[in-house]
Amino acid sequence: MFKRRTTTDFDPSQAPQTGAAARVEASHVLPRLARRLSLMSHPRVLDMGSVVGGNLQFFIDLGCKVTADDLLKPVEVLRVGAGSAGIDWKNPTTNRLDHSDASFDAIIAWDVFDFLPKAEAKIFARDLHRVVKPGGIVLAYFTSRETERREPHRRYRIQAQDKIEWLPVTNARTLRHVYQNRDIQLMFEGFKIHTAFVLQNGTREMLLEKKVPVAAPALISTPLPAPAK
Amino acid sequence: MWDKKEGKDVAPGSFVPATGYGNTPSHSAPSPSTSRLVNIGQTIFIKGELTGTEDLTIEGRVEGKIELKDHNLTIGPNGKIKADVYAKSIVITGELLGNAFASEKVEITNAGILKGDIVSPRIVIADGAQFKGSVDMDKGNSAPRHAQAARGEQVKPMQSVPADSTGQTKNLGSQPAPYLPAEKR
Repeated sequence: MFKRRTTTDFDPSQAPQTGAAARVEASHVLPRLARRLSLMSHPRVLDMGSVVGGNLQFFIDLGCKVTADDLLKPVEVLRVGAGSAGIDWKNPTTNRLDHSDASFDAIIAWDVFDFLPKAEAKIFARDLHRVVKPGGIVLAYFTSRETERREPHRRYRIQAQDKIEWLPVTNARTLRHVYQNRDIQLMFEGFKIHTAFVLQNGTREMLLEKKVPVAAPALISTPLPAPAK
Repeated sequence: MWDKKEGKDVAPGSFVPATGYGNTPSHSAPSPSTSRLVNIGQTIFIKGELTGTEDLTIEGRVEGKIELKDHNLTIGPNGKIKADVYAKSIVITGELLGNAFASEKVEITNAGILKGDIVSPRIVIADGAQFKGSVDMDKGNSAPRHAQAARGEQVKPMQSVPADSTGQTKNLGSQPAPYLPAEKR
């Protein structure tokens, strides 16, 4: 009788392709990320999601230098199985991102990882680790649904520091994988989960921070104190 | 009342989200010089440096460099450009592989593809546009708007761009740069 209404009830194929299907969710990690970026001097941000001009503006207003690299396009190519989108998908050692090492302070990945094949997601995560600076942040969304199913890609639009609107990009559907927290920890080796929230729609919002390598302990040059007698 | 507000109403250093205003790319209104618009047709391929002092629409292929100081460049749906482009205003409906330098505005429509960096005080990117590159907006002395809020300083909360009764965006004048759709139509 009182069926809980969640986003899983939402069938985008029955909705118009644009506009009407948009939903707004509160974001708990975006204010944290914004605060962190605002304290940095001209941080570099990579937006990996479907291009939304307003999102770029949001980060520019924070003083960031923004780079857009829509990874949903190659994901779509990967799904269809046509072409290579400039990436040698068959070679797991090739870089998926053509950006130099440690070049970004933050990466906005949205839910790109959910739509990648599991093996490919791990390769992407490894490449993210390469391009993020030590101490840098990755914002990522993961579904917390129990079963995997095909869904359209989503476009996320920042409405305010604590509000994000999402809507399906197309009606084409790609298998959305489900990652447990442990899967995410394994996938993002070299990162630590900085903050995680579960939104009302069942999406997990996460900030992952690249671990800063700990300097090797200096060799002890001074003699140890003599034990007390 | 029904006059459409043009891009000139928007503060420099701002994105104008093309969607949210009805999914229609907000092309610039034709300027008086548009009547003398030059068109490079689909079957034309130019390799080298292209300079001029009038508005230009490219439907063909160009490789090299394009320089139209103080004039508008439109890359049509069939246009394929492999060049750095310098113009007052650049509208990309086709494909541009190269950097776009505009003294006024760069616009990528929902069918447009840009693989390169943008240097412009105003940028319009439609949802669905393909863009890979970085953005450099010369914002003059304007301080980062959200940075204060993010640091916990007292600023007004961010809101949608207000819309007037006609559904058009208001003249923002010196108001903070919008990054939100005004209203779904």
